[in-house]
Amino acid sequence: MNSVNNENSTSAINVDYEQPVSQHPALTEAIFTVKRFIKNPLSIIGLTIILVFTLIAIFAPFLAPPENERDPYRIPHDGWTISPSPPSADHPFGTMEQQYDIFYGIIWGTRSAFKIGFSVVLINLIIGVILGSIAGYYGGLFDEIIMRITDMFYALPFLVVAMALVVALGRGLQSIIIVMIILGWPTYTRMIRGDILTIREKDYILAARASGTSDLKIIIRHILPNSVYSVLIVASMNIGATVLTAAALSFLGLGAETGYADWGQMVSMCRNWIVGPPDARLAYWYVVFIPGFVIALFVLGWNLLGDAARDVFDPKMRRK
Amino acid sequence: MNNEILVDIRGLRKYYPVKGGVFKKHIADVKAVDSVDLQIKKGECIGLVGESGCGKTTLGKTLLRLHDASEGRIYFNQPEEKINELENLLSNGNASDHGEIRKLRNELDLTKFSGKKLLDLRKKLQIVFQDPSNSLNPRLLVKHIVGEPIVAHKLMKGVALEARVLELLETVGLGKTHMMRYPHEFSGGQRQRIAIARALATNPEFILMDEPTSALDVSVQAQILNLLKDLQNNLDLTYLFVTHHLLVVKYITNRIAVMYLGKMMEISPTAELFKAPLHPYTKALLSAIPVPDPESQVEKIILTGDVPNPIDPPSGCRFHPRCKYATNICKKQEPELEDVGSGRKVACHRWKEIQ
Repeated sequence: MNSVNNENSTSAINVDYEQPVSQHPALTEAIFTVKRFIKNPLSIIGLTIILVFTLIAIFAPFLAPPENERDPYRIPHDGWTISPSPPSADHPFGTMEQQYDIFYGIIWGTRSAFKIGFSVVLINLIIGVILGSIAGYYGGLFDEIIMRITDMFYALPFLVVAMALVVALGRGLQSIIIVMIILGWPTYTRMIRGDILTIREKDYILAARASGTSDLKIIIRHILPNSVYSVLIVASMNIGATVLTAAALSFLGLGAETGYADWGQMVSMCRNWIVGPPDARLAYWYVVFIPGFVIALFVLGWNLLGDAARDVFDPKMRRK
Repeated sequence: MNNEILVDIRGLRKYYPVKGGVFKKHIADVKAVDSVDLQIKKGECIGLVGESGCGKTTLGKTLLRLHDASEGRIYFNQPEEKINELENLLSNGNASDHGEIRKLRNELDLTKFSGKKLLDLRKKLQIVFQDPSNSLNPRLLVKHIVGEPIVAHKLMKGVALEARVLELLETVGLGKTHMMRYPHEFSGGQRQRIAIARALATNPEFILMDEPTSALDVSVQAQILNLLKDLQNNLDLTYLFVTHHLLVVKYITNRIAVMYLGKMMEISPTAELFKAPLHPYTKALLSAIPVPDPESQVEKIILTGDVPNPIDPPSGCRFHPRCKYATNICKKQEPELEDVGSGRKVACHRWKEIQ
């Protein structure tokens, strides 16, 4: 191609701010993002909480060495005494009924929490991105079919279906995870579809189509990077919420069996010890408070992280 | 410029269905483009003007296959004999010619192209949008934006691709320092230059300019218009210039097509159209151009009423409810776009009387 005569076309604009390009602009953007993130103290608190939980999960075998290597999620118990015993040198957080060690349960329960949170949210996200992209980008019949299916799932009462499915699949964490995936994906699908609908009509999508870019590439390169952030933020908050819901289901007796290292299961075990004998109402505070506090802390960590991420990635806040 | 026809639009219609009720029944159509004929010559810049919502952008985007046509044919760079053969078959063919018609249309009519043929077509037809802040993906670097069409058609990669992108940026007056930046780091005019560079990437023959200067400052508009003119001369491009800014059109185009409510009202060489508009609607449009002279005594033709609803356009001539020359025939009979000599066409029953 022959170049246009430059007197005419370049004269008026200033091409002359020659700055040395020292680093890749994507890196500049990343540094900018991290700087914004660090500026917010709440995000640092959230990040610290999640980091501590992550370390606990990773180093669980050292923090609380399992008695039975092949079944580390089984909380060891000292005898069969019914009433819980308060914190002591042997049991830093005390014990639950039948002398299950609370400290051990908290440590290994962290792994359970991450397992539940990540597997549920990740699988929901994958299903949501795929179905939401198809429904949002292609529209028409695909959209109609997928959205009517999500409507059907919305109509199901959560607890009833959860109980029915757990009865069908058998008690345990796996069942809870499966239930939350089956009932959780429609939310993600709808959210991603909505975000894609707002992006789909942008001119740069039309420009990409006019230049012959394939649909798959348009979705991956143009639509998802511009729409998926809000969903990722919701997802990060949902990791905490998922653990909370799982704990609620465990509390109702749908979770793991007695003695399994899972926070929800632990709270459920203490149901009988929430209120102590008449002369000392708070005698067994540690049984309920410690697992409950840990769950709340975990949820809080993810919420703060999600909030911070929202502030950082919000395009309106990003540039002024 | 020669007289070779590059784009030949025949009887093009684009209807948007209006659905209603529980069962999404088809109630009516929005007739955005209604039976439009337009020939675009190779190397010319033809302006397409009209009020907002008259279908000019829809026409352009249908031509680029960004929308699917409801009816009609669009021929891009096809031999005239073959077009005539197909048109003859379509107008006087009988049932036995069905297979032949379908075969010819798949071969010639770009509204029927698909797969590889459509991809090859996209290489030759490009578009520059109105608002560059909307037409550049904010998360891609300039070099990826400009290189996208080249990658999509698998024309080049690696070092060759980089060199080509740099060449394109230089063509539009940008440089190497701009390659590794994001769109938000540029001014409006520079962004439009990036969009133009992208449109040039595959060496297209035809570019749809969808109001490329309306979102820019007046001072930048002139630069972009000059750039577009230079590019057209140097790269042998054909433009369809969609706009409602008549002075822009006067400056850059060779011919002008005036649209109203999905129909062609007048097609004419630019100079003649500004000198002596034939259609009453064109007269009204031209009289609305502001004249930078406080003493000027030009009579303004004020159009009363709004643009009618394109779902239910007026009978007869679409312009008759707002036309001061309208008579009975205008209400009853739709005027054909007739050839009135010296390259001009007009769709009005009374164009001779009202001069």
